[in-house]
Order: sequence, then C-alpha cells, then structure tokens
Amino acid sequence: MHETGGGESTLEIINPISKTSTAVFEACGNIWKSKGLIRNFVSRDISQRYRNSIIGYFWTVLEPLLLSAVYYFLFTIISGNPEERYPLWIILGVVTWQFFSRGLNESVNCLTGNKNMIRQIFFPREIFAVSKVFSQLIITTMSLFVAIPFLLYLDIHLTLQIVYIPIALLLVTLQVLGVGWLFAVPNVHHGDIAHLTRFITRAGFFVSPVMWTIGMAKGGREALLEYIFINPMVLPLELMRAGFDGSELAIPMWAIIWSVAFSFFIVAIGLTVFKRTEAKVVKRL
Amino acid sequence: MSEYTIKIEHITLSFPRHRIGLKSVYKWFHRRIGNDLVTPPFVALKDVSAVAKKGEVLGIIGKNGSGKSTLLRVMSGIYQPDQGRALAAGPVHLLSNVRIGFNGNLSGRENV
Repeated sequence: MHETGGGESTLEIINPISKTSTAVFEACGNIWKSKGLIRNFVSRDISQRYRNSIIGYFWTVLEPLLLSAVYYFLFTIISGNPEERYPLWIILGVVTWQFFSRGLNESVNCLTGNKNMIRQIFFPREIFAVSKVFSQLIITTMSLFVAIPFLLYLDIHLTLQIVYIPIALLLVTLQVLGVGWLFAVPNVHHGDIAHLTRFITRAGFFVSPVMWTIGMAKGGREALLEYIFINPMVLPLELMRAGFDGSELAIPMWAIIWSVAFSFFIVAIGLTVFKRTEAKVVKRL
Repeated sequence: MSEYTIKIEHITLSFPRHRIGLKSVYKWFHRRIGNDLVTPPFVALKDVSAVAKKGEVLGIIGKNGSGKSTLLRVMSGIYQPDQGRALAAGPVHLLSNVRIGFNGNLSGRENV
C-alpha cells in the first residue's frame, strides 16, 4: 500500500479494500479505535428512543412485561394450566428474543438507515451495526430487571449459574452482529433482505423456545427436538432461563458446541464479507 | 523536491442509474435476445488526476454537477473509484456538510 511519491514522501492508498486474511483484525481494530464514537451513537440512540415519553426508560421493563402477559394468557387458553415458573420463563424468552429480533433487523439496515451520514463523511462503517446492537444490549439488560419480582414471588435464589446470563447475551450479540454484517451490503442491493429478515425473526419467535421450553417439548417429540437444536438461538434462550432459575441446562453437548461455534464463525464470516464489499456499495446508497 | 500530500491518478467513478429489481430481470431477458435496454451508468468522474504538495492550497472549480464534491469524497475515502487510485500522506477528513450526524428530533445539547 505504500509508495514513494514525489521522490520523498510516503503515500498510502486512501481507504483501501481490506484483504480477506486481515479483514477481521482490521475491523476489530477500527471498532476499538472508534469506541468513543460508538458510545456517542449508543447514548443518542437510547435517549432518542424514549424521548417524548412520560414513563421513559420504564418502557424497557413494561413492554416485555405486557407482551409476556398476553402470551401467558394465550398459552393458558391453548394448553390449560402451565407450570408455576412459566411466567418467568416466558418473560426471559421474550426479552432475549426481542434483543435478537430488534438487533438483527437494525444491524441488517445499518447501511441503508445511515446513508446520509455515510455519503458525507468517512469512518469505519462496521461501527453502525455495533452501535445499534449495543443499544439493544443495554435496553435488554435494563429489561431483565423485570424478572426480579418473579424471582421473589417464586422464591428462587440465584446460584452460580448466574454466569450463564452474560454468556447468553454475548452469544446473541455475536450472532446478531455476524448476521447483520453479512447481510447489510446485500440489503443495499436488494431491499428484499430486510423484509426476509423481518419474516425470519417473526417466524423464529414460534420455532425457537420463546413461548415454550425444551423441557415442555419432550415426551414423544425427541426426534423433532434434534432439528430444533440446529437453531443457534436455542442455547442463549435456555442459558438465560437456567441462569435465573438455576435449573439444569437440557441441551445436548453437540448443540452447545454448535451454537458457540456458529456465533464466532458467523462474526468472522460476516465481518470479512462486510469489509470486502462495503466500500463499493456506498454509491448505491 | 516537494512532498506530495495528496495524489489522485486517473480516477474514474460512475454511478448506476438503475436499481436492482424485477425491471432488471426484464432487462436481462431482453439483453439475452439481443435488445440491450440497460441504462448506461452515470459517469461522474472520468480520468481525473491531480496532485497537492505540502503547504500548497489546491482549488477545484467547476459548474454545478461537474463532480467537485464527488472528487472530494473519493479523496476522503467515501467512494471507491472504479479505476485509478487516490493516495494521501496521512488521514484525510472531509468537511462538506456541518449538519452531518445531527438528529432533528434531539436538542442541540443532546446532539453533542
């Protein structure tokens, strides 16, 4: 990239396209260097979200609570008396799925949603997805406080399994970022990607153990569960529940390894594809 | 001898005039049967070269729509040229619009 120009000075190509072998490291370096900017984007995003609202940040708790109440009511109509801990499980499922769903939809739209800024100034574009997902991560963390009254009411004491909660949040963050980076550039070319993502997150709500748990799906349906475990979101959802109520993680080892490996693999692939293609797509914005 | 701070060599940049959609499938089909309906891209910059030396002030003059801002955007790394290359002796920052990044829904203080 260096060249001797004018006989003396060392010139570098402005914003060269990353090489496949170094794209991930370059992007991670850019994200680290831009942490101040990310912090600024995140704080603005969160403050804008609850602006002009009377109860403000309380919506982070109230929204999953109301949604869970509706699902609980629905489930009770369909299948009779659920287990005692079911309200807690459904709230944790809804909060975790909302993080995945909103984070994914926003990160896939990270280029199209910031086109005015991208066309005016250059800075590492991978940080748009990071800031959107971090905003959702903070909102999700605040939403998790809704579980406290349920823990008290159900007399559940937190155990060392509480470490599952940050692991679950990390896995969702990685999956959302990876898939978001992977599809952000194709979404500029084909707006259909955003519609497809919205459909997948809506359909995934029912296919993933959000309204139900792995324990509830057992009983003659083990063969079907093998397919359910292919979904990499099953592990974070179950980790979140096991982290709060201290129950045993009812997931086979292969599904745990698969979900963790997928999370890191999709980040590497997504970031590489993003860094290799984002520079050329700006003129299509 | 003078040191170069920015050097652009044979920059060509074009913008697609069409969006990818069902219409592009229709045009692709016509191309297959010999009717080329594809709108040629808009060439914003064609074989542009320039050099700015250390301590030198370089002015770019041109009519509306002649590609001055586009050239500055290539020089700051926003657009990747289709041909040619842009080189610099350090980071280049473009200040083309003071309203960049401001959110109209937030107050002045919140925007900062």
